[in-house]
Amino acid sequence: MFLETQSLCKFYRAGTRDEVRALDDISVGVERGEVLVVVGPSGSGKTTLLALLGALERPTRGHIFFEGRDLGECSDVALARVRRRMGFIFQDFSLIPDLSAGENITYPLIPRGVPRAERWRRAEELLSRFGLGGKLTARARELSGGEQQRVAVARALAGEPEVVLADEPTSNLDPVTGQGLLDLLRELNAGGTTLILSSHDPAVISLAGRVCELEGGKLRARPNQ
Amino acid sequence: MRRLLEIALTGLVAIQLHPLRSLVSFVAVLVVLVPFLVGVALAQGLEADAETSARLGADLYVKGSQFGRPGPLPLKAVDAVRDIRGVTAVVPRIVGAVVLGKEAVHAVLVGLPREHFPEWANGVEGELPFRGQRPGPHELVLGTTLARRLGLKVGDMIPPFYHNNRRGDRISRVVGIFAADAPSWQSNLILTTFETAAAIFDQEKLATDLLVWCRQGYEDTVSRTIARELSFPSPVGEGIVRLRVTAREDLLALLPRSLLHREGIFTLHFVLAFVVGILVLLVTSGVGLAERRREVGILKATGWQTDEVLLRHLAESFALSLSAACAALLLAWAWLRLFGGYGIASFFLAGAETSPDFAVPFRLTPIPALLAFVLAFVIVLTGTLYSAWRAAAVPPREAMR
Repeated sequence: MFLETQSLCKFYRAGTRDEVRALDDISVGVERGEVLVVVGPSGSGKTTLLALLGALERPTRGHIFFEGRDLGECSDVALARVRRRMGFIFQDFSLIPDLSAGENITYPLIPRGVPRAERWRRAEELLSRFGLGGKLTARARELSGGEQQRVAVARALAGEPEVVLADEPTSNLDPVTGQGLLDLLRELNAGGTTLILSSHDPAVISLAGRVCELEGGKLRARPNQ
Repeated sequence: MRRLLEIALTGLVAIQLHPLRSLVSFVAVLVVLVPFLVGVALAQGLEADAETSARLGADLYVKGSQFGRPGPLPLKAVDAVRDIRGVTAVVPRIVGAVVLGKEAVHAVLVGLPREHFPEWANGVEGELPFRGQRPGPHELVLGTTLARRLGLKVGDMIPPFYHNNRRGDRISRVVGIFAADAPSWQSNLILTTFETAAAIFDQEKLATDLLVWCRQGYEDTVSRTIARELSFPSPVGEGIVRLRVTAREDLLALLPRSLLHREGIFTLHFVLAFVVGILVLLVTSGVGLAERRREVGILKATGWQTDEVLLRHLAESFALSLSAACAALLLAWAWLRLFGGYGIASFFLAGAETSPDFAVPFRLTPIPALLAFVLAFVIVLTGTLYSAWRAAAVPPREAMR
């Protein structure tokens, strides 16, 4: 497996009376080049699962393996290197509001050692592709929700990731832009990029090679699995 | 290397990205550093001034001594000392304390033979006292602060201020006032001729001390000879007066002590201010703490390592502290040069008021400047890097919450 979890648990305020079991005993895996879509109602643990798979958080119990390597045993530096091979699209965009759209896209490329000219070439190219060619120097806070979403997608893709994790990627996009994003994701997947998506959107689910459904932090079997 | 440089550059961008946060750090540094620099510059300026004065002064300072305590010595001692081999000049001096005016202003009255007035005394507004003593009012030159506090101008008369039973009280006349650029210790001084000082204090044929100049290499021999071989009948009756000698080098060694004492008290206050400054900065940096945490979380989520995040903040802190230290130096200079050390000079200069009316001596040397930068760096680092480190040390999603 390219990326997989074994008996993965994530509890918040663990051991207290207010303990929240966001994820409980999740074992799921994805092969390289596969498209996995995580579905489930709000609060079912989709975002937490994606965050754990994206090495943004450490599990309470269980294991996450990336190319066979247990992320729970990785150092901080090793985890950062893993994140550089991934692109994460956050549901709330998570842009740095005072940076320009271009800077938001190029900043993650600085520690990767991508030369300045190349960084800005990629930013320009991606923004043009998402219809934001003229917004390169606009501050993120000045962009509309949809525009911010597209900048967030551009940022995730700028690092040419091996795996893209997207949390509700089309939720803030109009149908036309949303379709454009799906086309792009399809294109990326055709090029070998692994996709792990969470969504309620049937259009996104239609991309799935496999669907996993969460409910109350637990995995539910799907009829098509 | 290029990668690290580019990461550091993002730290410089962060300064203008968060103007409020940067301003809080900048102002906190100024509030702590400027008074510190002003204090250190004043202490160093005073020390340098005093040292210069001592170096340009006599080789030996001779006082009378009875019961191991300093006292006046008879003028006969002038000739006795002058006769010692190696002595080139001997000048008697009277230094006494007086109280002037209704406000009871304390001042130091110095009497020297007119031909031995210090060179800086030539720059007075008005004129210097007549050589020797002539009938009529005593002729005095007043220090700038003293003249201002007593509201005296050149030509004004001063009522008798030292009771004289034998010759009767005499009024004095202000013949000159020291220029504002004269050395700082003139501020509360009254300078007059030796004869006039003797008449004011009614101490004829006595001096409080002798200033002795020697040929080079004779200082020790002369000093020993004075201390061992000279003694005089006491001017107050029975007993004898022995002589006590202080060499210039001893004086130079003693000078910094009182300054260091004041400097020590100042440093203590400063340390307290410094601690408070850091605490204030820690509290105020909480203004941008959530923003900083989230930003750090986003950077880490997109592939930045903890050390890269910290390097970014280190560059931000470095640039902020460098600019704040430079601004602090500039403000300290302006405070001393343009505002005469308003409010702080009186802490170091005895008799100086909140707003000194003379040029306060100060020295802004490289060491305090460097120290200023280090302190600024510590203050800013405490405020920024600590919170950045706390945010960077947790998983990205936690920092982004």
